[in-house]
Amino acid sequence: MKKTILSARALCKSFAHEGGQVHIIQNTDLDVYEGDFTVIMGASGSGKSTMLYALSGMDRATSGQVLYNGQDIVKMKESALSALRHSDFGFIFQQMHLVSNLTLFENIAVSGYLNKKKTPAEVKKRAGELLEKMNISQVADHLPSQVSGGEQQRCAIARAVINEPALLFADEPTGALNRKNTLDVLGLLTELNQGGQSILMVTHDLRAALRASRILYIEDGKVIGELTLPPYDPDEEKSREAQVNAWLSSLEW
Amino acid sequence: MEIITLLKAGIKSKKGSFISTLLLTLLIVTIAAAVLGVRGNMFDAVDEADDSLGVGDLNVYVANTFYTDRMKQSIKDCAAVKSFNDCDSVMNYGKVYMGGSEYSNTLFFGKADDGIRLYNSAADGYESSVTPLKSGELYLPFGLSEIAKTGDEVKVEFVDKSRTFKVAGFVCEPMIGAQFIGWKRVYISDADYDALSAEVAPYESDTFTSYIKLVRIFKADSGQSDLLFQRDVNKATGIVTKSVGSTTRAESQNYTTLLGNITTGVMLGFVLLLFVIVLVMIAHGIKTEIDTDHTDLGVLKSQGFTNKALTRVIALRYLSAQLAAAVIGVLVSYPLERFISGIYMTNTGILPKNSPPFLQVGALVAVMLLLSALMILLMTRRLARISPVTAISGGKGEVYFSSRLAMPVSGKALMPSIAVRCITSDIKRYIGLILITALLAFFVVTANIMSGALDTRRSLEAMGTSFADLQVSGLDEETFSKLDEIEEEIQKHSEIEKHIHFSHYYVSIDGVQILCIADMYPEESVALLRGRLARYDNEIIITELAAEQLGLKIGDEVMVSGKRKESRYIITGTFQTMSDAGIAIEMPFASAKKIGLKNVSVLSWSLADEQGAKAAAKALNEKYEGKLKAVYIDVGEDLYNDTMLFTARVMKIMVYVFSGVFALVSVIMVCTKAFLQERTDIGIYKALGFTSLRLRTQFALRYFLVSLIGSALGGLMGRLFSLKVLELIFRLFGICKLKNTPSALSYIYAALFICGCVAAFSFLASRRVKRVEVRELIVE
Repeated sequence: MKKTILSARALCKSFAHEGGQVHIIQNTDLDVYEGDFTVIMGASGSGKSTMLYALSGMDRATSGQVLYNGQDIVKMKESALSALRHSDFGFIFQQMHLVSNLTLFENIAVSGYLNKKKTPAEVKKRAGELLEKMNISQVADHLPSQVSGGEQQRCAIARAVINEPALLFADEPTGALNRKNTLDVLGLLTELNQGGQSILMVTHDLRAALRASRILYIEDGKVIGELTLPPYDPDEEKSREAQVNAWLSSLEW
Repeated sequence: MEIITLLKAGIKSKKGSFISTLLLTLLIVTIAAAVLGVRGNMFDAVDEADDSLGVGDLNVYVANTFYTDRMKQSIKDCAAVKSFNDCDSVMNYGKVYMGGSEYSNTLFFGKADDGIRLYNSAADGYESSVTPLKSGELYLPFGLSEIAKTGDEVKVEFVDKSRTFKVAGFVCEPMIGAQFIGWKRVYISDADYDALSAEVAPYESDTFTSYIKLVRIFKADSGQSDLLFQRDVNKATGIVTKSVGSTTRAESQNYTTLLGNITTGVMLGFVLLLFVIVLVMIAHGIKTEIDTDHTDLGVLKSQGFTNKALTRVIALRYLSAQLAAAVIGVLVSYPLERFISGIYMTNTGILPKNSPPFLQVGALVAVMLLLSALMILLMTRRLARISPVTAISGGKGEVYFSSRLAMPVSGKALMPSIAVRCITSDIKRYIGLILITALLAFFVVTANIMSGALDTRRSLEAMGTSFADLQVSGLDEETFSKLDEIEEEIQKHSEIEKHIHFSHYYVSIDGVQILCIADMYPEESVALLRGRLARYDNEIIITELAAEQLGLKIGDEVMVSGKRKESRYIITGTFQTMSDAGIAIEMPFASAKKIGLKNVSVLSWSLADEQGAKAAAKALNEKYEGKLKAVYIDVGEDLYNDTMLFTARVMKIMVYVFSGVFALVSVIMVCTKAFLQERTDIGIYKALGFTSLRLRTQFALRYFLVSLIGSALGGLMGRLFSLKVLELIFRLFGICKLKNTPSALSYIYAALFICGCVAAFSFLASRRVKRVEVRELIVE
């Protein structure tokens, strides 16, 4: 029996639009399990990114609950949410969103400094290790504008994991990358998951989805399908792809 | 039409920038229009009042004994004179008491002149006719309305006896009616004047007269300067040399409007500085706008908009804000001008006019708009760098470059190090604010130095003003000869710091009347600027202002004429004094005897011990009862009532208030633009777990650091230029050289004020950080 790390109950998210309400997520229940590499898929506009932001506390749900460690993050105060972001959750954005006037090293370290669980010296050591692991140590002193998109995204991953988060959220992390960089980033995420890191990722890229141990399919803001997969093995990628494709086709993707 | 559409959209989306430009320009136009109105109307009112009362181009108060038929004939024969008239007056002999205190200056009592105008009870207009005075009543010039009120009694000691009059009202007296002029002409009833005149007649002698003629002389050539006219008349008649005092129309108008001219001049200087700040802000606004709207501008270019068209849109937005501000400003300035004019009325004694200076303000607004347009043209040249391709490819992202100044982001001082990084990575963005804070700090430093220069007894003494703690009067010759004995008595109670024994009287140099200060102890009270003090009885020193006016320098020999004698003197040095607006000469008492001065009129001392001064006054009055009167003068360190100090403090407060307002508006404008540029970074920081409070603190800290750089620059500018700027202003008061060295506190207070304002206002402006949602980073 897997341990639930995050669960949503009756989750709703609406936006005001032209005097009315647009319901992006409607009364959704969902569980994320510890150690899983969970992927949320869906067509454009299905509400997958909105759901990710609501689950991660980056955005507040309109109603319902998002329970983490027994606490409802929907009702959390801003300061508690801030603490959650730098201690328990990590987040990777599609557009990387590195702070433009900090070097790659500083972009990674600044989250560690904020967390305060480690001394500044320990943070620097850990940031150095992550730079090595992400293979970007040679550009550690460069500003984001001076490196490639793939290097930026690897830096963003390192930043997201520097505080060893309980759950790593990723919003289309390969959406802005070329094929080579996409494979590099997916390799890193798989490696992290295999090391025990729980991941919840949104994607519409089949190659990215193949890395998952569990895929949730969303339509009109509701989870309408779920597929559980064995741990990723590159040698079985073809058969895995066929299985996922067949499942997605059944959902009219 | 397309321009109008973009203009409307621009105003709507950039409300903050539009409103800030409007508010700052409004402030500038309001102050400038009000100040120009005050200056123009004040001068016009004085000029018109002079015409109404028939003030001459040269006005001489001369003793009856000197105003002989021969003198009259010589005036008549003088080619420079067109016409002249005279009127009688009797001057007080002893003290004058009004409003419960002693008034130390001379009053000239005369019959009501034709053309005098009586103020109504509200002092906001004139009575339609002047009520003839009854016996025992007098009219005072409005300049004395701070001292006495209608219905008060005025007790005057004449040569025969004291008389008491009741104040029946106040009149407009432009010639010597201003607060800055000591002498005053007052009006009594015809019957009282005739009686007074008859009663003092028996006391007339060769050496003393109560009868003083006011002779008003008019130029034949209206183009001739008043100074040359005075010189010509005196050369031909000697009337100025023999007078008790004289004033040209220009001098009188100068003295009357002195305070107004200085304060409004300072305000105009401040307005100029504020306008420079507005230009800096426009430049900053356009630069930021082009950076943040890079994509939109590229898209517009791809649709066929030219650089010229886009420049026109931006220019119209800023210029329309300024034009709207100018119109509102002129309207708002009207009541403000009335209010300020009202303040100066007590000082000038003249009801100001209230006609808006449309022509001047129109010219000012035109120049402002022209300069703004030039700045806009200069800044919008950047538009040429935008290409439609950059817009199509997603626009121009923030590009930062590595800076040598960059300090590593530190875990121990996370927020300060991030703040420093933000500044060093894009220093150009902060240049505008650095310049603005530098200019504001410079002005605040200047205001501090100005106030400091006038704030204490010691600093004023250093500039040639003497403050006595103890004064004696009423000494006969026998008592005067016992001066050493009197001083011994004083020293029993306190150490004497300074002997302030002098006489002020008027002499003429080459036909021009000038104040002469005859000192018994010049080495103790004269503020020497260059050369050396006059030591021998053929030496004098002169103020720099008088030397400039008369074309004299150290080493020159001049003929100085007293009323009955004249002698040649060599100028040995220059000094400064605030007496007679700094136009004076100084000589030792021994030298002054050569041209007829007999007695020292002021015998006073500056003592080391205040309590000792009180005791000394009491002891002297007891010991020399009936032979002298000693009084303790309560000066203290706080000279708040002094007009100059009061003016300096008011101006300092105004500078602080306006600087604060400008800091508020400019910081909010700059921060709002910075906020737009940094919105994504703020979202990222929030996503990493930074709280709004931390981000706001970092924001405020960053602007505090920027303002610190600006304040340091402003302090440096203050160090280099403040004294020079102030000396230009203070020349009007007679001070050519500010003697006090500005203390470090003058700079520290200015820096703290500006940095504090910037930090507080940027923290206030950063409240928008709260509104940034991490979800803004979502790309669906």
